[in-house]
Amino acid sequence: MEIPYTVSARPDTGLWSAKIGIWLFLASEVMLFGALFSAYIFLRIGATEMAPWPHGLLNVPLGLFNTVVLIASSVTVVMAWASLKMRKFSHYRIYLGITLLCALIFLVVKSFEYRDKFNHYGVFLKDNTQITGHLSEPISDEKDYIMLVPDKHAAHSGQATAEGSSPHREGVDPALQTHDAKPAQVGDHHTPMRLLKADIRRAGYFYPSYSAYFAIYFTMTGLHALHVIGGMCVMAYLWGPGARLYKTNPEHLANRVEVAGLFWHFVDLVWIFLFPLLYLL
Amino acid sequence: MSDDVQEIKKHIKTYMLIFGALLVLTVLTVAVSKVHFGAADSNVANITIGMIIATVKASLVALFFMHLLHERMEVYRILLLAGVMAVVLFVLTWLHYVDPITNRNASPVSTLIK
Repeated sequence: MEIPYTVSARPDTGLWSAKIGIWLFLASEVMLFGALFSAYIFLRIGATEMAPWPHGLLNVPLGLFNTVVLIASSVTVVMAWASLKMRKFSHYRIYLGITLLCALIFLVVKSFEYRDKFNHYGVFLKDNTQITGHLSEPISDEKDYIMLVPDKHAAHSGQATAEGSSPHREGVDPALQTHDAKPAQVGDHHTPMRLLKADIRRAGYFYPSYSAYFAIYFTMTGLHALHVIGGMCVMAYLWGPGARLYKTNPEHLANRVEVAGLFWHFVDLVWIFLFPLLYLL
Repeated sequence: MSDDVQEIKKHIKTYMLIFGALLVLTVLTVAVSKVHFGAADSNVANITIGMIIATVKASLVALFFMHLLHERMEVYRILLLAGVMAVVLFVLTWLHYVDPITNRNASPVSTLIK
């Protein structure tokens, strides 16, 4: 049975059906990400002096690179659609292939970022200061201390910060200025600091459970990454087995690519908002 | 089909221009985030500026890449509905946040309810 109105307009809507369908789906996606953005807003409003919203914990150059990659992939997917409309099949394959490659690069960079976070350790001391860094040795149940190599004070090594001159933007590790009870060198990012377990209120790797900031970061970027993977699956089908439709009904294929492209642009849109909210502001 | 091809060719030039604009705006987003605006202990100005730039970028993607500039009314209606529902979702959450009955710290009124 033929799917109706894949190319010709439906009389009541005036559009081919998949276009209405994808916009309805994107409307539901607006609800989904809108709810998470709302959660971000309320979590951030709830930050206090004692538990400030952190800054400078994410790698801005990597985030910027990913943003550029995703925007470029949006351009290439619309070029792929334009090539199909102009019946240039080989161009279509090339542009869609580049789109898929950009998506893969995005995911690979994201996986490096996640792994970097999972290896990062943070300690909340009982006097409400926080020290972040890397463990120089695994935590041992027999010892009453942990050895932490602290991050450099103003900037994490390898990460650019968005710090302005405002005094409240130092949510990362004010501990490095105020701590005087520790024998180890403070601020030297090669020497491990010895932190007594008795002084530690809470500590952990930068997992979603570490702080509200990381909870919302991993949730939103994780859901976004799932959408990237889903978009990749659809585009891979249209690049591979689905491209056979070009022989019998090229306009139908063009419409399919347009619909997939609309989803892909939405994924890019979400990232355009995620990048400044999580990495920069 | 041929006048379709000419139309598409004009569009391609537009796509490239918009791509350039998006790249510039992306670099601008990062640059602007490093300068502190507004009151000394408040992030509000920086966040507002950042969100305005992000909205401009999102509008460029929506209007040109997603072809919304010349779309039909039916699609606009769907998006309007989505926008209204998103605002409703947010307002409902905010109402709970400031509701003094469920949230004792929510407003001055709550000091009367011991």
